[in-house]
Amino acid sequence: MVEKIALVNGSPKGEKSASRAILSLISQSLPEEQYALSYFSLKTPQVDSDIAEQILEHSILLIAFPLYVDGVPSHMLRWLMELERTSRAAEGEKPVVYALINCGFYEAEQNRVVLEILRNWCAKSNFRWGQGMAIGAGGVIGGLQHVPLGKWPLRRLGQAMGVMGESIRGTETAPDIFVSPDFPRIAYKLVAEFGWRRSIRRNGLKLRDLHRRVPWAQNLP
Amino acid sequence: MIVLIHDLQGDQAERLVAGYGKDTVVVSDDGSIKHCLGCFGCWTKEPGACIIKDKYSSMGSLLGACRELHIVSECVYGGCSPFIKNVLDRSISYVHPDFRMREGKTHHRLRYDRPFQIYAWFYGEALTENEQKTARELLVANSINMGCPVAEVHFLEDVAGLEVTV
Repeated sequence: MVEKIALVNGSPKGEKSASRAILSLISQSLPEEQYALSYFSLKTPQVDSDIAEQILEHSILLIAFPLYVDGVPSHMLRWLMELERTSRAAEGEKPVVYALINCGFYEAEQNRVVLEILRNWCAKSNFRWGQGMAIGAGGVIGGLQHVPLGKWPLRRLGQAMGVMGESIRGTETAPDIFVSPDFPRIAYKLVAEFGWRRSIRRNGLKLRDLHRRVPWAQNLP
Repeated sequence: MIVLIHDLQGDQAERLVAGYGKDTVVVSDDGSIKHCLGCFGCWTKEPGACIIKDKYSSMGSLLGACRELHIVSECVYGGCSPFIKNVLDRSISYVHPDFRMREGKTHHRLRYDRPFQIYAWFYGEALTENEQKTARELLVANSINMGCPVAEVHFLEDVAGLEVTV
């Protein structure tokens, strides 16, 4: 029997996101003849109960999103709450959840708290937690789609995808995986900081504008 | 200055705000907030300000000017409610895009000199021990990222019991 898997992208950047690339990479572990994959892009906070119901028709959920302020991006949090409501209102088999979270920080461990948040969400929604994958320096992944998974600098990510792929195929609950980048921290810092300076110049600003301190002016509700 | 970010409505909101003095800026939910798009315009197009133009685009500079940040939020899965999280997501211009090491990990360099103290009140019925533990860990992570200490964390079953007098 073909197993139905929902690939859920919670990045506001949709198709252009690292989360989309990460979902494509994990899909490589799931042969077409055994798994029917459906893709859902949840880019905005406007939740839709029909889409939530469609997502919950799948026996396995693969959820990917970027870390925002140590947690779930706010629009995606609204979707998680809608999925919880939908799950509580329906009887029947509940899905197993696998999560792939990437952060802009070098250290994958900085995703540890958001994986706890997702575990708490699963407990409230009666979903079974499968496994989490925490990915450091995730922003680079979107630009590496020409690199075969398993080759530098996607060597460790390739190994992790292999481990999670096995867990998904067995619908097992397994320990979280923390994927450190294949390159040193100093290299990541230098490349990232060079990138911000290039962006600010392309936007017609001076390098010193990067350090701008803005005086607060009252315009809040 | 104190910045109070809360997700209460109606009488509950009025009672909460009544406990604060004139030196408080209240950030509340009027339904108009837009979500963060992850564009980093607040670092490279208009450094220090969110480029999404609504009432919440100056959160970074507001945090840069305050001495205490008070958060009153429903506790959702051990994190903040969607509105509070939305405000925090829209506040990342408070930090600088460059990296610095703090507590052995990379975090963003601070844009402003003066750190504020974080006070948090999480409310919700039947909060689990795991959710409370996660919320405490979340605040520690936030405090390291923003370079600001956590002064107090409280959990309440019923927000009606919340009284803050400043």
